[in-house]
Amino acid sequence: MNALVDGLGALLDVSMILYILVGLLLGFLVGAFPGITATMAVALAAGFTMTLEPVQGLAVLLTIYVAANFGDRVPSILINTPGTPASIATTLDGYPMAKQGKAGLALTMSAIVTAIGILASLVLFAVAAVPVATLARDYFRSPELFALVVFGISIMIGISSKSMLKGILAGLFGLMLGTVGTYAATADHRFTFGILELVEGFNFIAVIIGLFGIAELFDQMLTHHASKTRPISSLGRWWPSRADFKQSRAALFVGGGVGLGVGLVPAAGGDIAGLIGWERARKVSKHPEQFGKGSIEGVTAADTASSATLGGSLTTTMALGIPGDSVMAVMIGSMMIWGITPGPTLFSNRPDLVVSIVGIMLIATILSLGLSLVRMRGMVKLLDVPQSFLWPGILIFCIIGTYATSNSLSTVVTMLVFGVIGVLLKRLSVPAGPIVLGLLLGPLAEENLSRTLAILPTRPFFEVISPITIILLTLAVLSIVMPAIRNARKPRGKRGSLSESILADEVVADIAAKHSVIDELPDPVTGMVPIDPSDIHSPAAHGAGSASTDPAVTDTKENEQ
Amino acid sequence: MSTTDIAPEQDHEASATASRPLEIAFAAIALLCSATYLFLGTQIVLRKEAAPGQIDARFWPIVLGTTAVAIALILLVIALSRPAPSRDDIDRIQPGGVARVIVTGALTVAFVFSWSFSTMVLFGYRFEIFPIATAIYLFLLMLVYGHRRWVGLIVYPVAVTALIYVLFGMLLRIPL
Repeated sequence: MNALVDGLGALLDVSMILYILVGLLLGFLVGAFPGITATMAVALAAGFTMTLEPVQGLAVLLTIYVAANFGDRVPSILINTPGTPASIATTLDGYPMAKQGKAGLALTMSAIVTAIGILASLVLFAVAAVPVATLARDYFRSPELFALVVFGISIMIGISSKSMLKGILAGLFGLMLGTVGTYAATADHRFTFGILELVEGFNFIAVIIGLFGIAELFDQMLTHHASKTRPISSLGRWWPSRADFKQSRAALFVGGGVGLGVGLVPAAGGDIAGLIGWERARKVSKHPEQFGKGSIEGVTAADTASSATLGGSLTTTMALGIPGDSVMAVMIGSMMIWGITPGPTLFSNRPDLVVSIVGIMLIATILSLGLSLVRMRGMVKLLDVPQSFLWPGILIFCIIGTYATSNSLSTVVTMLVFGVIGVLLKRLSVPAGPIVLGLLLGPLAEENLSRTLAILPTRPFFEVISPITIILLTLAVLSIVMPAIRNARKPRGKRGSLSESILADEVVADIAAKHSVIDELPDPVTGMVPIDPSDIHSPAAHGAGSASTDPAVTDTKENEQ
Repeated sequence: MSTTDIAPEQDHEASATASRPLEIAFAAIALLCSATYLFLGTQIVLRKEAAPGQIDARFWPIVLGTTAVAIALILLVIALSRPAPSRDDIDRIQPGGVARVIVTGALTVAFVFSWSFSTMVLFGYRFEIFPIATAIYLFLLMLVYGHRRWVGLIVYPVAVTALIYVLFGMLLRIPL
């Protein structure tokens, strides 16, 4: 009862509303600008929230996380470009709906089901977080914690990497970065080269802003070209009819189930859940042929699934200390700076935090839904902001955000160096996620390995190495070996990361064919439905096209977040 | 200078091409870095030897370095003996893109360097460098990214600089 009162009490401060509103605004902006991921925004905001109280800082970061899940649907639907990778699956049916004059309907439905998905996942978090943490606290000792870290990094490698070897190298690079500084057990200095700034190791915020902010920005500068695509401004009717809700019911449940499940898998984010949810809903739908042509069921399934991952990833992050997705990896870094270590002991030490987190996310979801329904028309204008305003703004805030963490320009230099390294690695298909996870969890892995090796000679082997340890290490091996086998079976040109392999080749070809027909339609100008989706010709007659929405070739930036 | 060149339409749609030399270079650099790390790991100065059964400060870096060398070697062998993997998931670099990044990097380094001198004295008056450097930095970046309207070129840098200065310098008391 005290935890409930304390948790709610922390939210009653007037300043909390201000922090939530700041997060809401930032989250929506981040979501609406394609190319700026939620991870990048949370990394950037982490630099500015360091001086706040933990709950206030969490209010900003968690609200960005929630609001970005609403804002990123707008460009997906109106310009066929995901605002963040979590909305990749929204483009499959959202953009065709917009081309048919149903953009308003798609945006409203998307906002409603996103809210439902997040609220359902919050129930999961509220119910599961404390039992999972208690279980982990009671049964996880050093061997299990070491195995858990290995499992977390391995699954991030398995999910985010196209080449497992490059993914493993990325993880090792992160672990190596984690060894720079003072070795906690003996106070020996490692790889500091007499440089004072390296004695405490690399500044985590500078590294993540470099890898996720600067690297992403530089990559956009490298690949940017003037686009002829204009946002669809004729939005048509807004509110879904009773028939629309009825038609979407099955997709809502399927998408929600998929999202809740995928969210609990460490490192798996909204992009993966959205695609799986869309595919599952297509299989159970009475009208699977409409998927990819502008089906409201498709939008519902994709958005429910991707948003329902939030609670699951929050559970693994807070209860086990293993990031549920890349945004959560950044969040862990920020929490550590506040002196809060996510993991099995967090909720025993701070049970009020569960209540505060649920409260913040609940308020953020309701406000985001309201803002989505009220201001979506204004959001369309954001899509027209030119890069000449956007890039300098992001760059200067990356610099100031990093500087604010230590009031030292050496931190800014570190960020710039990691930005350059990050963009080079990105161009070479090396994922950034395992690097960040390695840097974050490396010291924890070393500490627990050290303890395990110290007690191993003193007790029987299977008394130290429990079945939980063996299962986690086996899962770690499988999470790398299975994707490697899956890729090895495919022709060299068709190999890809997990999110690129969810939809079968024939489904991808079918979507591409449907979208090539959709692309040729004129933009709606009257706001009325100009065509019936069933009039669209058979995909077989049109060949592949529309590379921009092809999930097989869409850049899976979620895992780099 | 503007770097907003527009490439032919077909170039925009294409993804990056597979490149064997690039894969070989990456694997070779990874091997070199891993080997250097491993070597430096063996040279870590220990204050005292670890107690029996415990691990010292060298153990973990040597484990990581050895594994990284092994993985980089396998990657190098694959890069030398097999065709380069496709890069469908990576957008092609557009004309002007590299120049844009290089100029941005150079301006950023110049900005950080000028910021390191916190104040300057001119005509007997002491000026803070940060706001002046920030406004000029933003102005030049916008110019590089192709913005040509004078109102935007003046108003945006001044407004952003003022926001940063007031919010972080005055309210949050970050020593800019």
